[in-house]
Amino acid sequence: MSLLEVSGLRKVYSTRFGGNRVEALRDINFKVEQGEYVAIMGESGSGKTTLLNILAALDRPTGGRVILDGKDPARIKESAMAAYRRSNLGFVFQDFNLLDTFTLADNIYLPLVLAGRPYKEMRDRLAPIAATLGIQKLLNKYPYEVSGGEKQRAAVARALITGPKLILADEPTGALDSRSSDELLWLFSEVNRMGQTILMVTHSINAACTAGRVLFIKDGVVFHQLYRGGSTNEQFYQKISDTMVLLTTGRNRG
Amino acid sequence: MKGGFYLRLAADGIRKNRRIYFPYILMCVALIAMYYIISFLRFTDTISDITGVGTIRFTLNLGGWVLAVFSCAVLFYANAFLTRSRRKEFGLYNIFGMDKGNIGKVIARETAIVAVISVCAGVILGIACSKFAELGLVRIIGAESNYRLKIEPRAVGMTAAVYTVVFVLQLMNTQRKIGASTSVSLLQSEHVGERPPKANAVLGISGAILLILGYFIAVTASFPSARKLLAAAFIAVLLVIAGTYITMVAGSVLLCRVLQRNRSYYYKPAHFVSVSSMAFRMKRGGVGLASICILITMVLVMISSTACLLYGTRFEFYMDYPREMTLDFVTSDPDVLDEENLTEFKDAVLTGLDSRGVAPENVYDMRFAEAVSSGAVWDFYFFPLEDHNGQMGTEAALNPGEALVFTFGNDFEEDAVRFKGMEWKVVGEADGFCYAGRVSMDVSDSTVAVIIPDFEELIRAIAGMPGFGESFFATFNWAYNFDTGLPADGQLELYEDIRIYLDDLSREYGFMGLNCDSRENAGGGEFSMYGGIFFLGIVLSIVFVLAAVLIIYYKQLTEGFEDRPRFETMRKIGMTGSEIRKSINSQMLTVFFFPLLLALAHLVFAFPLIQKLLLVFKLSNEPLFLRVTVIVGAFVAGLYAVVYRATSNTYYSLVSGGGKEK
Repeated sequence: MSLLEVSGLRKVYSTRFGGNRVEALRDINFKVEQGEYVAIMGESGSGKTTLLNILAALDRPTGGRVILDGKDPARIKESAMAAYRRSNLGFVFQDFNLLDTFTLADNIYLPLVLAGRPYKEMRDRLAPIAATLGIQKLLNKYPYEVSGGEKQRAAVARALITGPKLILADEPTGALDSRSSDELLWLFSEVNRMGQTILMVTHSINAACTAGRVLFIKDGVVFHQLYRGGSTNEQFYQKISDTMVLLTTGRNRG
Repeated sequence: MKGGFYLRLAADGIRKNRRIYFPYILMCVALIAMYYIISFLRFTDTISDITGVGTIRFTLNLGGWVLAVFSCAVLFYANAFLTRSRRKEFGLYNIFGMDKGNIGKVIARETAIVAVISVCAGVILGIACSKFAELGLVRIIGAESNYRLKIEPRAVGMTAAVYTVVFVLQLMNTQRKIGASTSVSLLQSEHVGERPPKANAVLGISGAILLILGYFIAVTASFPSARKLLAAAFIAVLLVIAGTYITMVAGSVLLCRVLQRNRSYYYKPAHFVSVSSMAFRMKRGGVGLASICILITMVLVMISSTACLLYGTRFEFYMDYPREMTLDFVTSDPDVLDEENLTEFKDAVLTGLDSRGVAPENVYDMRFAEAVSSGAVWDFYFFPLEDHNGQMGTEAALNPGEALVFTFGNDFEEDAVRFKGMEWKVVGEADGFCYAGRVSMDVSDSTVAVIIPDFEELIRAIAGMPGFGESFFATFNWAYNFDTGLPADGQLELYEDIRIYLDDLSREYGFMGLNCDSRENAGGGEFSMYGGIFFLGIVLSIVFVLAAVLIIYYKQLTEGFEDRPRFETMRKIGMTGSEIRKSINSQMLTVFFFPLLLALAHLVFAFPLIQKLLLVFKLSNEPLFLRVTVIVGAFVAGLYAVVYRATSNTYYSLVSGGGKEK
């Protein structure tokens, strides 16, 4: 059984008085297997963020189903939702979303504190993650004292520390310079190699080419998908790039 | 054309920022109205007839200046907030091609609009309320007034002039601030990374020490002289104010840091978010909260002490002058106060009353002898049994040589009253004692009222003793006090008549003292002053409370804006709505009720000091002071809670903000 199954997903937004209906997602179908690293690509307005919000259970679909590890998040009661999100999902955002009133360590601990774990367990869990991400020396600093790349690594640590089934990353390199981006993407590959399932939404080919599989979304449907197979990052980059050109010209023809 | 453009931009700026501007204008209107009222009362001739009008005018004038300076401070605070929250807007104007001179013009017009609106509305509101204020003042000082509404042009001119100056100062300050910044810094000023608050142990602890020291001085200040007491009070106030600011700013951060170091406390869902954001909140808002605390304390102290001053003195005054007219006849010749003479005196007074169509009411008619011998433990006042019975409506009976006693302080435990070889057996305590007039002024702890059946014999015996008037001394008194029910001027007329009559008597009989006091005549001056102070206390308290409300409102607004992205993140990370709300609640409650609690603590420690200060005014009415203080404290706390609830709704609506990003 797949870790994540998305079938017939539909999301319609109505404007305030119900006049204009916008179909953000029309019919999305895909599966993500345990241990996969999947990138979802698409241009602005293609419905990427809507899809991610539904996967994150921040938003409810108009139709279709999302099954994560055999459960439908849409059926979870509102009161249990926060706890569900905490224990099953890890989030990495474009703008980091670190709290400026906390040190990096406390930011990383936040989901565990909310879950009521004892301090010793939190510390034990943080140690290996911080080592992997190379942020041991930064833990007592405040977000404003560190660089964007370091902030994003702390955000990744916060996503990892609960041991989530799935990490959802929304344009994680969007606010980073190219060197920090490369470092972060390399870390994503490392984390994935250790068995963590990752789903990343991006419109950067550079980011997408580190993934094992890329889904292309256009006009609310999965338009195409590419597997890395045996190709290197450079070869995969070329393939994705070609597909993007096809997507764009395809729109012109259509 | 061009001028119209700036004006339109300015009007637009005010409209768009109404959430900030509206309370600001309201505050201006309230301050100006208050100022108008104070200057109106200063100039109005309604109070020009009452005794002590000079003192009242002086007090009001002083209060007017205090209000003007305070207005300036409050409006500067509000204006700084206003400018800060609009820097982005100005930066945008700058980028669209307006230079700082142009922006300055927009700001100048905004200030002008606000000034015109607030001065007009303030003066109108002031005029509307001035009658109520006048009636209030007149009622407090006990004068009379009519119900005609009047406008005092001098007060209008004063108000307009003072607040024009205040607004010009504001404008200059804003221009200076905008002038000193670049367009990029204007745009980005909201995104400056915030440094984490550093816990400064030395500062935090010294704040607590200052507070404790101030409290200590307030509680232990002794009463050797009024000047020393005032000096001690002054030092205590300074220490407590400094202590409050330092404690709020540094001490609270220190506390948060200490709590954070305690891991098993800190890493709990209930404390984690609250404690860490509290440190930031206190660093940002400590000064504002300390100001709120000081303002509340000022209101509490001001109202309770001025109310005590007024009502306490009035109470004492009524103790001193229990009746409208107080007549005291003092002589050393017992024959002067014989039955025949007393009847004659009384008749003369009654005739005077009769000619005015009134009869004496509530009469106090008592003879007594005050006998002082050097070295005696007790001061004896002898009263005739028949007068005592007549006054108390009792029918006590005594045999010659027996006495009833009544004490005013120390218990009289001897079995007999002994004076110059005479002796009365104490057969009991009088059930009550009706004292009025001079007696009440002179009682001390060692005073004993001795009620005896053989008063006439006593005074003759004393007067016949060897050494009377030389080695020992006694006076024979008749107190005749009564109410007339006459209006104030009638009482004063009667008072004059009686005095003329008494002057004649004095020449004829050779009294040692022959006094007539009229409560009306004695009352005016002192009450007017205390009444004026009390009234001013109320007015300033209203202003202080308004200022505190404004600070609270702006704090809620700022924090709402700042906290919104923070709570949005927490929601994404997996905090439930109810967890967020709980966290907000606990933080807001702590932040806003901490100043109130500290203010109440200040009041508790100030209590003994104020009490001693009131003693300078010869006031020692502790129950009254306690009651007033408790009432005022409860009232202010209730008001504060209402304001907190009202403003925290703004905060919630900002923080929840529909859950949208940015």
